[in-house]
Amino acid sequence: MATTINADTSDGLKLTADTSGEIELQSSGSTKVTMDTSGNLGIGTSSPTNKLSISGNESQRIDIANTSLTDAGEIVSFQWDNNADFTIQGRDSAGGFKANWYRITSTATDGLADEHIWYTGSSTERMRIDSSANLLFNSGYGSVATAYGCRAWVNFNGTGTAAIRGSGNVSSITDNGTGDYTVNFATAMPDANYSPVVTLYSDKTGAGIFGLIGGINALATGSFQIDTIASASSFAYFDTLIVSVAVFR
Amino acid sequence: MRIVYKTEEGGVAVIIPADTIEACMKDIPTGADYHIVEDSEIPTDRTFRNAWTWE
Repeated sequence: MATTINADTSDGLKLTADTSGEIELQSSGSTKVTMDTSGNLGIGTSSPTNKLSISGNESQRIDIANTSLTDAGEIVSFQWDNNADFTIQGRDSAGGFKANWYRITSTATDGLADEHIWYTGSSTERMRIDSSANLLFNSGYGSVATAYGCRAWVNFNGTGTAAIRGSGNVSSITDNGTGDYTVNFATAMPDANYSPVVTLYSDKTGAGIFGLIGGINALATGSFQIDTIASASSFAYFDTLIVSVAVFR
Repeated sequence: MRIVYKTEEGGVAVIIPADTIEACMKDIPTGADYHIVEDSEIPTDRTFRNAWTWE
């Protein structure tokens, strides 16, 4: 293999290998950087498989520094450690955590992601997607905890020509009769063990109306039924101005 | 728009769409005789709601 080093006023310094060769940079008696014949550059590997391949042990990272910041040593680093955890983090010149950072944790045996964790500040966990696909965050809970979402909601007028004011994951309301409605889900629940919460409001006063009761029945994956009842001297089905429904599971 | 159909008990049920009529066609019971009507065709007086019929 013929290698030439050439310098001229038009092209600057050129290190040239012949068509069959690669270029290696060595220090302390071993190759540290390799550029193969395809132009792939390897650091810590003599067989780069991509445009840039970097290989090393746990203590090695890819660091990108911005020297114009207040702390001249501020660095964003990417690390893939011996536990198969992948971390993106900001560090200061002393090597401590500096900015928000993010880690994908994995089992070392399979290398597949088990958890995604977001941190702020030094090492305060703010949000996580765990291995069971639960989303955990601290939004006034006092700690990072699983958030259980509202899977469907609807606000409708049960009087006059019944009408939906707003909704989520509800395809329609069926008006079955006085104080009798069916909530139909746009996307069905995985089972019928969900928990609907119903609150009612009526602008009617007097006429023996002492309270309103929102009952539920016929829970199915695709729908459930609501009975709105006024408690007076007797209990009777009653149309209310606001029927507010939230479904949790 | 609303979808009206006769219930098995002989009454009338009215489907109120949250979005489009097409999205709630699945909410019509299988085999039910239904009609798509304008909102204005539905009575606003519900005093005798359970006595409604559809011809």
